[in-house]
Amino acid sequence: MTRSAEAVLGAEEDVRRPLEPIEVEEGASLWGDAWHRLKRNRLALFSLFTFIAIVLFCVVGPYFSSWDGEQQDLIRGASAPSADHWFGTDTLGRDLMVRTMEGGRISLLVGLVATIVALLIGVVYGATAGYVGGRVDAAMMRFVDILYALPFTIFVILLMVAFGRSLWLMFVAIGCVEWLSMARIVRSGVIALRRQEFIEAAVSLGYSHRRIIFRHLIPNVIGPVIVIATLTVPAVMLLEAFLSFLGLGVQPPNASWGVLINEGQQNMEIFPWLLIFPAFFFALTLFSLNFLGDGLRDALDPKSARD
Amino acid sequence: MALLEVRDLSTSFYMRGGVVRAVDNVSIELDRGETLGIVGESGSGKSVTCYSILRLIQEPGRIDGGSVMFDGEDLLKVSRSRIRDIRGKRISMIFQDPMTSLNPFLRVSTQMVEALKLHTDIDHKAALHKSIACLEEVGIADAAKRIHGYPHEFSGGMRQRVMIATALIMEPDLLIADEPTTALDVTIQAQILDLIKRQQEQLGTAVILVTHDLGVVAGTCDRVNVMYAGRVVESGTTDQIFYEAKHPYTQALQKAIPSLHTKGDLLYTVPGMPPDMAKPIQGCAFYPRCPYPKLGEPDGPPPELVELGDGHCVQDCQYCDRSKPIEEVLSKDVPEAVE
Amino acid sequence: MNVLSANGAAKSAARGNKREDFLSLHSVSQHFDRGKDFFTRKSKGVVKAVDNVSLTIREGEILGLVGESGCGKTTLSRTIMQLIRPTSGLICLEGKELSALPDREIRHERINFQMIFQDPYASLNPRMTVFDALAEAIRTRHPTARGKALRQRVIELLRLVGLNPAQMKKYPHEFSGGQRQRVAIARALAPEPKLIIADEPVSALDVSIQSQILNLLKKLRDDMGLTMIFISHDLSVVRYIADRIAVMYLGRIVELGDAERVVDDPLHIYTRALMSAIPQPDPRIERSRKRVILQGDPPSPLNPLSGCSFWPRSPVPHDERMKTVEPELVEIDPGHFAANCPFCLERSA
Repeated sequence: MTRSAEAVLGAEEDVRRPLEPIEVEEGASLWGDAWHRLKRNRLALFSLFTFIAIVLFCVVGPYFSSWDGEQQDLIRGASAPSADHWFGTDTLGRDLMVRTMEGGRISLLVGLVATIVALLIGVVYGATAGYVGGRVDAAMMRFVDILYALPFTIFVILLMVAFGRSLWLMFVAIGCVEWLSMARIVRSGVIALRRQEFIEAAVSLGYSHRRIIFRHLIPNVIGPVIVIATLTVPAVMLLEAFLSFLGLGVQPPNASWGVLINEGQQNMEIFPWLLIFPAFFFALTLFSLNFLGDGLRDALDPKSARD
Repeated sequence: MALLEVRDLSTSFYMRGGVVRAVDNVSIELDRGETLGIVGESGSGKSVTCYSILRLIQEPGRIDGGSVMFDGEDLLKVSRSRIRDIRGKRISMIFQDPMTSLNPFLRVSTQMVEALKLHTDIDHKAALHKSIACLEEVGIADAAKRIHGYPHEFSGGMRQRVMIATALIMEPDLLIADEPTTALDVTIQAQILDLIKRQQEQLGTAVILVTHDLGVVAGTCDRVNVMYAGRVVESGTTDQIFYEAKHPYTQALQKAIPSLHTKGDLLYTVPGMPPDMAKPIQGCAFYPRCPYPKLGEPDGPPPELVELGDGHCVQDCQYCDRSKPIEEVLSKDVPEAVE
Repeated sequence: MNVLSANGAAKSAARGNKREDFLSLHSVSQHFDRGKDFFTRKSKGVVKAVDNVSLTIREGEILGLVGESGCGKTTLSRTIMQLIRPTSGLICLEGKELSALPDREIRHERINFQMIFQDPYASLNPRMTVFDALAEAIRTRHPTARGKALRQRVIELLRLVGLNPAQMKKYPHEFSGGQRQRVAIARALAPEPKLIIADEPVSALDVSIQSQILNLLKKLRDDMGLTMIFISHDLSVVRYIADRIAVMYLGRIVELGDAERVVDDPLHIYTRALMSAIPQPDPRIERSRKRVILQGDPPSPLNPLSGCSFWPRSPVPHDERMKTVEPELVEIDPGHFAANCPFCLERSA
């Protein structure tokens, strides 16, 4: 370029002139728009509050109760809901409400942690595969295909047998399986986005691959990922319940909702409350997360929702 | 009697953010065999007008009022089966993107034969013959073989020809073409426009051609309606619109486009941009961008169309002073983008 | 910090004349080998998207690149920008050969070329504010830019393209098409490029907005001495804004010369056909014109034809010799080049 900014902006002094205050207007990000759309969806909003309420119930609840989840009362045994024990007691005399709350802590923890693990692995893997393309992409996705074909239950059982039963192992096992779907979704999103001109612009501006993937591609595919993540949490919780049901999961005296449901199911005819309360909370959590996920999908993708 | 007489047609879209008056009291007159051009930019309402004529408006849109007299019948008031009968047989429409207006899963032969069998009583074989003949008419070589192909096996220009063939196969009285050549290369555009003209001369079809390209209008249309923000701001014969334009928008538009004969340093510019249709418009819609000196605030009802004689109508506007020629008030600068 | 680095300005000022060969292409080709069929092992052929293009662009010039779909203008522009490497041929910027540089160095050279795209809606990251997008681009040339100085730089850029700096925290979807295109132009200017390639920058905009953007580009070229390649299918627009025009057909340049000469007095029959296909906004002219209407569709480089590739569409009566001619770009009139196929040339040297 020949002539410089001076010629365009005026005299030399202009460039060194002190910054005049400019009233910068706030922008309305796409996230903000999505949040507004979500707020209008009553069911989704209700589900969100319900879920938050359940989380609070499980996390904070035990501090407000006079009972301890491990406190046994063998004389009393299982008793129906009463003024002392709002949810009743189980066969060992433990207060069911506290057990439900503590069980919830574990179920929710497993759900959230495993989902986050799956998210981190899946997003990075899928974005890289989609961005790089070609043979590397093909190889990476074939690996995913192979893992998909592994029977999950057997895989977890093998892990448990090899490494013993622990909560952390369960996180890993479940996370290892859930990341596959995440990777596929992110990859297809990235492939679609790769052709967009703003990615070409980023390449022509000489941005590093890392910057393009993390700053330009991932933020634009994160929408569907959030939806999937919200729907993965209940799926993970179900998996955990299934494992616990089989006796592979959480060990006593710890309990998750799955364990509680198992115990409840064994005594279903005589002591029905043992099944009803944990099952109710479990189901409520699953429903609210599913409706929330639906609502998020509609909020984040205005084209699929009807205005 | 005119073939098509649209009077005070209004269509609005009822959205969460507000009501968009996409078509605001639009009137159109078209005789048999005539070509009318509807010119406008985004938000002008030109496409919605065409959809409204054929009653193709769906929720959240609604036709608010007016009448569409087609050969004596008010299309807005006839029964649903009658309008279905008219569509495709007496009034046909072709669209901008031939890829999405042809069903990609069906062979072309299936789609054309379907249209024929729906409106007439002929059997499958005769329908196929007629379809092949039609394709040959529009210049598709080897039509007997190619008709059995799928849309993606045709190029853009050829798909548009297929569209035209399908639209004209019933020899309709009126053909509505919504930006038929915008997505095509310029040499193909010339072919398609030429084709439409020849078919029109042969069949006596009236044509409504919707476009943003003034050059296309100059070459193919007898009469022109210029639309802005859902309203007709000027209408008349092609010569009147190009050589005797009275509305500042019509004049500014012609001055702002570079033609093959534009000389000089910078182009004339029209400041600002087409209005946000979600907000209600007071008075004259073009006011914020009008280069003429302003005479007070635009409030009150939209300006009326007045007849200047010989069928030339213009929005009469009391908010600006149009005494000077447009060249003196239009600037050639790089205007800062107006809000 | 200035819009220009002080160094660059001084160097250019010292040089009296503008470089003749600011950007030069020598026999550049972009051939895509479609590989072999899996079963028959037969070659699937080669797509000659760009075939033997030689071109020199003067500093501060606007070169118009005109052609229809499949002519290779988009591939050529991406090859110049080194987004894809040419299969053969040389590309030199200010005498420095780019095609020989290794991949790592190419990334540094990339900021010398910037592109403005056709679709203003797709060319900006929807999740970044205008400020963030411009700041990121500025930092490619000034990696340590921060705080007030960076903000001032962004404000300057926005003013340069005619946008209100108060809107810099807004997101792309809050702007109109024309405004987004201005943001895209500002982003293209931010790394202080030497060459800007504008690929159909106004085709997706409303007609009344097009002249604003065209004026802006012209003004930027005049004030900043930018060198530009302006790609478009619209000859009227190109004639107005470009100094010289190159017409492409099936990967080759068939005509090259001063803008007004190419449009008013074309040498190649394809150029004449393109010209006559453009509808003019003047009814009298339209009624009296004689059109050259071509047959068929713009060809696809997938099945390149031998000889003069134009013969299937040519209005000239078919001659078998058309298939064996090997046209080359030769200078017919001073500064006015055309592919010397005897069936396509309106007149010879």
